[in-house]
Amino acid sequence: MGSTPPRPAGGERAPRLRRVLGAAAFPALFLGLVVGMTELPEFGDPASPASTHLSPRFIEEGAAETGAANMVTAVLADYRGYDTLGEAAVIFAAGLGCLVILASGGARRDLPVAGMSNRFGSIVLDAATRTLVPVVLLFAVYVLIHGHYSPGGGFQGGVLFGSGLIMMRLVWGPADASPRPGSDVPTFGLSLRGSLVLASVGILAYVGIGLAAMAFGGEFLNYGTLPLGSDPAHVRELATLGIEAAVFLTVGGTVSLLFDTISIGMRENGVPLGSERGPRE
Amino acid sequence: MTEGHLVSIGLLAVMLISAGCALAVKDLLTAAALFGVFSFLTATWFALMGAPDVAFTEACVGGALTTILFVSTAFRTGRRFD
Repeated sequence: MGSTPPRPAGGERAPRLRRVLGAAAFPALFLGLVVGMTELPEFGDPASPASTHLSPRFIEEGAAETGAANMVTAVLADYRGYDTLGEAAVIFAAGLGCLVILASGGARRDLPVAGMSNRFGSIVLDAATRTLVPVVLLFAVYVLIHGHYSPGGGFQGGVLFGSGLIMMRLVWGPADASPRPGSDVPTFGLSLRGSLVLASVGILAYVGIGLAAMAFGGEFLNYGTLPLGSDPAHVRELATLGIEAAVFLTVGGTVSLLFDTISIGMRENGVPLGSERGPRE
Repeated sequence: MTEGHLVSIGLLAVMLISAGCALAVKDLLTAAALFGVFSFLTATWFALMGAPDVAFTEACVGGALTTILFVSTAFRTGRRFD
């Protein structure tokens, strides 16, 4: 674009052409979707394929096939593992997008920040946080591990874990800052980069488990072939736990990354990452 | 009309009120808090409908996390919306 000399009329024609194409594509797509929609089964139709084939299979065979008593976990992490991979990737991409937009350059330094140790810090908040945070973090891991048997799983556990990290940041200040003078409160928690690494490891572990199933002769994310034991349901249970742990890492890392990019990252003008990027540019 | 219906109608009414108030108020911190109220009521509603997994997620994400993110964003961008 920069190499071509500017043409008086051509410079306007291309956007206009694009606009006309866009205006034509939208009704076409809309009509196509409406026509396609009429072919779908009625909402809630008991005779639809989903109700006659899929739901009974999930309900009747789910626990025996996947080893997960909680049907939601069986569907999310095993039968519909591909969907969940997409969801985890979307969450990760959203975190990356926030990081790129908010923590890179142009941040204002004159605004107050939500890492409020100097604004809201008090002995009550401090004591409450010391008591609550370990419970929250432990409960997050419990929710992750117990997702097979009760409501919960990697996603909820990850959000709880990230919330515990955020709670520490809200009361004690950012993890990257030096300790408050005269305070014995240690700065604790993940740095911005640590959150990013955690989320990336989660996504990679998810894909890795799927690829491992392929390497042992199965399909992507079809865990039955993994060499984890002789009982297929037990193998699937273990692999599902691995998937949930991967989602846990992704969501926990992204949650704390989101908070960091909004508070610390913007204040520091992207220092945790920008300090490396600066000299290279 | 059973007792369950009355509870549902009450819940949905308070949800509507909190959502409308969140849109109407000019103070963004108040709006974030009202949105948190709305999320917790939604989670309760999901639990009543027999979907504890979804209720759990809604309580974590909507009630806690989103509210925190809104509050920290309000701190960055200014508290009032005019």
